[in-house]
Amino acid sequence: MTLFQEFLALVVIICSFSACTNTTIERTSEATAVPAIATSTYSEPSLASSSTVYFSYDNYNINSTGSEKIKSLASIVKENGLNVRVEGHCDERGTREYNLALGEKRANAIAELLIINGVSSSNITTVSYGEEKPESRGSNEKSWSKNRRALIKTS
Amino acid sequence: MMQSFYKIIYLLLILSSTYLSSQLRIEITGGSDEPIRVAMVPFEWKLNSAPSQYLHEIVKKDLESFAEFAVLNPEDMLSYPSLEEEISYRDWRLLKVDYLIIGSVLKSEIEGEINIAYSILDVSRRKNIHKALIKGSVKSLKRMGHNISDRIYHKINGIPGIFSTRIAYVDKPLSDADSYDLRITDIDGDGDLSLFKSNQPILSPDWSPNGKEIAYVSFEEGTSRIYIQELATGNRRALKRERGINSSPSWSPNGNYLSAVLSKGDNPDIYLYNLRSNAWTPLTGHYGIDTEPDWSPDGKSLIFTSNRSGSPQIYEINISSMRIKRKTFEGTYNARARYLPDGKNIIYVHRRKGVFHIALHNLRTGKISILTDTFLDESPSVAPNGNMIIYATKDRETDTDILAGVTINGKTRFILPSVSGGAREPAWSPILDKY
Amino acid sequence: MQNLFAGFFVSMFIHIGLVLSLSNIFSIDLLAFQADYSQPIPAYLVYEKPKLVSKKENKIFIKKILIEPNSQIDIKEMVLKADEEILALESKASKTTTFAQKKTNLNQQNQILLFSSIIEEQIRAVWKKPIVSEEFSVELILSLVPTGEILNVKVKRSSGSDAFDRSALIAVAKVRKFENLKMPAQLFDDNFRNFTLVFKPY
Repeated sequence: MTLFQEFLALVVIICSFSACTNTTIERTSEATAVPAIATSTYSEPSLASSSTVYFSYDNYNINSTGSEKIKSLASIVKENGLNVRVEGHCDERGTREYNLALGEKRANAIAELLIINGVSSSNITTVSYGEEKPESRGSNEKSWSKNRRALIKTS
Repeated sequence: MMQSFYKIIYLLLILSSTYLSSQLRIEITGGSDEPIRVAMVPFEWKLNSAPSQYLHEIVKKDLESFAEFAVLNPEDMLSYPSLEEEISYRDWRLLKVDYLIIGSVLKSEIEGEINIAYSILDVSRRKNIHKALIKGSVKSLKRMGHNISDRIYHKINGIPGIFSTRIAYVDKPLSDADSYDLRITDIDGDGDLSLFKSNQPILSPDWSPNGKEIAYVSFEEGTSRIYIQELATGNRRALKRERGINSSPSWSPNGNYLSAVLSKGDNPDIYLYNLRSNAWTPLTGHYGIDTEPDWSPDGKSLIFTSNRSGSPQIYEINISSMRIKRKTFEGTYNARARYLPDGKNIIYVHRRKGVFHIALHNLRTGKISILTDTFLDESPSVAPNGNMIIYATKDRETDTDILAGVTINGKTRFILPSVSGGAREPAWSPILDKY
Repeated sequence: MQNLFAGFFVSMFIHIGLVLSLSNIFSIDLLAFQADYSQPIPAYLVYEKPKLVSKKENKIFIKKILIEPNSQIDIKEMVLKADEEILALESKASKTTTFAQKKTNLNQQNQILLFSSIIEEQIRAVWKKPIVSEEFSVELILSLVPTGEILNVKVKRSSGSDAFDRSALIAVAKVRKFENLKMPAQLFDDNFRNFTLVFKPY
């Protein structure tokens, strides 16, 4: 093949490319998900008692009423060899994950005080629910103050 | 001969220098705020069966949803071309149309399949700027419509359309205090489906980068744990549980890691979870709260919330150097940041005068813009094209939890209607239909 | 040929050297060539009213001011004064002045600015920019004929985004012919026969 013929062939190829400009051919994918529903149910063990300690906003310090409550609770727990579950809760203000962390701080503060008052740490579990389980619905200080709490459940 | 050659060069030099130095430059900054006008001629329907839906109606609804486009009604058109040869550009110019879309729905050799051929035309320059043939099932006509909207949006606006994307969210109906439901919906509110139901809280859904799985936190065992659910099969797997909080999963851009929050060291810290070896590695270890991690689009760093300075603020950690840098200094509550796809901007929850807003923060210039002005705005999530965000807020009139959205320029707002009154924690999917 | 260039550079070098070294002897004040301080210096204030929330178009005002030699220039005061004048101009402009009247009052530099702003306004009114970040910009070269009609458009420097380049080309195609661009032939040939249009999103 001469150089000229080669050149012609190249021109033809390039022209054929540009002739079909920008047509794209593609398939739409079908519905991307065929979701399957899973369900789960959690049930709490039967409780011997449940008491509540309240907190102020963005804070995990236990006030004097709270610490009195925990003191008397600790002696009951020790006497009867009960298990304690401490749940930390927050009001709805602030982000959910940050509140989850804050609720954990509240639960841990209670657990610490129980341990100081003689409860064995192996009998205590803590969990934070953040703002997910409010006691009272409503966006006002009345509801919020009820929701900033820790529940101490014994079983 | 030689002399004339140099003369020419000399002349060229003079010409080019005057040309370069004296040419007037006029700068146009900004532009018109008018929406882009699009006309989509009802596609010629070449099938025997009647259409279940009209593509031009699907596309019109899509394109108009963020007020960036104005789509002409078919009643206002002067002609209905389906081929390029039939177009009278003058007519469309008179109707002030910027882009014209024509096409036909054709039979396919394959049973139950259709082909859609269409073109996007630039009316002022009389140019075909995009031709495509889309194949798909008759039943997925609506998805094909969204797909066409995505392509039109991409061609005209230069960024991907998001009309085929979905939003995952957690639904807690007002009527039932002990019901939590992880759901996904198309962004137009159609195709709303339940993925997982529980009587215990569900939190923080996050899409895998390929859009096939969702990671979330469930309290179904009485304490928090991270799960990954495959959308196509519904199969769930749980991540290795540690003592304390197991929460706030965020998928790495390459899909190999999750960053999450554990409090096994007595304080909530950021950890990496290797999805192959199922092992946790700590990233931060401060006595304060570290939470809400999000990966940068390049996968090199994470932003997270920390109260190490006394109040929650946004920090960035470089994964290879482990260096931590504070990013927010304005206000006493900045939390749950998310990167925009450009990696140069972040959005987060910002408290100003006791009210929680969503703020946009340019990491380079430090400029902060408040995007929302509702009450208790939280959980912002960015659309994969970076142009819209969706967030959870309270509708104070009805006292219900709703999902609302805003374009990143703050101009257009939209609301995703919630049936149950308890929609929260939206997570925008990545681009699902590649095109 | 090499010799010819060498000679040229050597002579340049010597000449510059001579001028510099003799400047002291003949007390040539090189600084004096920069500006004539004995005359008032003309300066131009080009100011744009900040965009209001309403859809009113931005207007550009040009005003010639004279700065006396050795005077302290208080820009802030000038701008404040200018603001007042804008308000006065705005109320007046709506009633009386035509482009023709304005034109006669301005010198060439002012005229270039004026016609540039006329072009800018007409393009801006029809440019619908796509969604891009601030670093994008496209440069076009426009060729006009004296009637204001656009003969030819070329992309001088692409923004890298097809959509963004296209939006600029469409804006130009929409204008097709610039209105109110009647000007002296010399002014047109020197500046507006070919010029560069830069499109920036923000």
